[in-house]
Amino acid sequence: MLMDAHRLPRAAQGIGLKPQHMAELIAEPANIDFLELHAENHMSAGGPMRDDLAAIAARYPLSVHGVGLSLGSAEPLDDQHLARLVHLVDELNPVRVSEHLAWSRLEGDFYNDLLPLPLSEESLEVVARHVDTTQQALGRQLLVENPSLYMALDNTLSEADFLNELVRRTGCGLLLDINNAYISAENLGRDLSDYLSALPLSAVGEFHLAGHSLDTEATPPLRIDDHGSPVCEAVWQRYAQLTDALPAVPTLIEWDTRIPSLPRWLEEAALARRYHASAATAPLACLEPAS
Amino acid sequence: MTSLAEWQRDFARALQFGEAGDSRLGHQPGFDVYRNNVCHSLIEALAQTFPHTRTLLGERFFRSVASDHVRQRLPEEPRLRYYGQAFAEALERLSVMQDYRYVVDICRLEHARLIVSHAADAAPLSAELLGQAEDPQAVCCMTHPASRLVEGHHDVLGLWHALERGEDHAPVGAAGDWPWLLIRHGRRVEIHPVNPGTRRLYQTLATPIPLGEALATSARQTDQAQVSEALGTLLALGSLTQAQEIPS
Repeated sequence: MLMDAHRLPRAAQGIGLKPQHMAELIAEPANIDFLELHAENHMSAGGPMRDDLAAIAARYPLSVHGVGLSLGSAEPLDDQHLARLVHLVDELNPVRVSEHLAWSRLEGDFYNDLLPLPLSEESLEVVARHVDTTQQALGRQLLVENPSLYMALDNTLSEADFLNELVRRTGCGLLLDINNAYISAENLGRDLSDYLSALPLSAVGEFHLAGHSLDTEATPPLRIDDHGSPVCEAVWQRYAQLTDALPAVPTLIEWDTRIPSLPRWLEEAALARRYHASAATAPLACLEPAS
Repeated sequence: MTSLAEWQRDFARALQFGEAGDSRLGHQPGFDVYRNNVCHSLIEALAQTFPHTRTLLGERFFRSVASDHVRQRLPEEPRLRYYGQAFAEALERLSVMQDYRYVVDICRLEHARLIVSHAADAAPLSAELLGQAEDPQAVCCMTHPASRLVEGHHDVLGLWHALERGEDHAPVGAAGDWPWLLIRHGRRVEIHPVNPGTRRLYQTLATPIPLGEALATSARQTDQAQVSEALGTLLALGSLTQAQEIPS
């Protein structure tokens, strides 16, 4: 039996679903509120991995996180890929469905990365159209994730203004990746407090937390969103502030490279739970930098 | 200001790995992160799909060949597990591989195994079920979706099993035409050598067709005894399934 899409506790904590942990997660219930899977890794017609996913879906609420829909491509969405996403979502009845403010597809080629797009009225129209199409196909709300950026673009809209308007036009939600926001602020020299304060926080449907690395050989040094280490202290501090303001929002700890053992990953989720618990009793705070 | 479509084409040109070209974008600090992410992630995808090919070629040569392949051929869709369908052909075209064509065979087997692992589930057509049909010749059938035929140039089954056990070498068998049939049973993908008659019947059944018609087609190219043997082999391996209807 599939889990109810709305059955997620307040301040739920989740971790990513990886093939190497599936047997363990099936054999013994883990102390976790939900699991998030990358949609593209589970779009197959059959086989044992699908059987395992069905077993997982019967035990845990799931969140479906797409990485290949290419909402920011100037060309139309890939109908076949959207159909595959709809099929997966219909099958799993997940608690959240999310994608990225990014592009990866152009003229028949798929660039396997979340590529940045210049934020303008034109790109807003493109992304809003694609979000509309996706939400209509899914029959449910899509959360759109803020990007991690490594270079300045010729924007005529700020990222916060873009996301506010996207939410207003489409009714989509925001997946606020705090690590991404931190990386972009550090790499581009923007004020993180200003950025976070300007976001449509009432639309946030999920937080993402992850680790990143620092490339000191780059000039200037760059923070790289590699999801291969524990969450850094600066991101935890921002998380604590944001959960003050949004205490009910679920949180997902991402880990996509140098993936740890399941117990180690659960420890990181338990740490997030402790931050969140303290937030629930703390007074409502504005989004100021941690002292 | 350029349109979004033009900007994305410019960005994609600048991504052509290792060369910034004349693109303004490609020279910006930070752009290399995107270029490296694309290149590195696709090489990793090939490394995950072709672990035995990687063992046989050695890490350094495999990464060099994979890197060249990534530059020449990007994925066509976001499901990365299906990237690499042209990798064996790319290997085969390398002059340095002419004396190592068995590696290309292993590469083909690895890709076929991956496809079979994630192919649709279906009930295999058994001899018993066929025998219960009112007119077995009229039963519409086709190859099982979780099966594939691979045409090899060497007998590499011993080498394949050695690689599966974690060994890095084993004697390579005789050169020649070696058709292998891969079929998924439960969580395992089995590899079976098949004879030319079995290969022919399997190929005839690639699309839904009444069994009698498939057998007659096959019999025009070989004798009846071989056709019957081929059908017995395919049924015993569980490599056929009943098709609901013949597409018009």
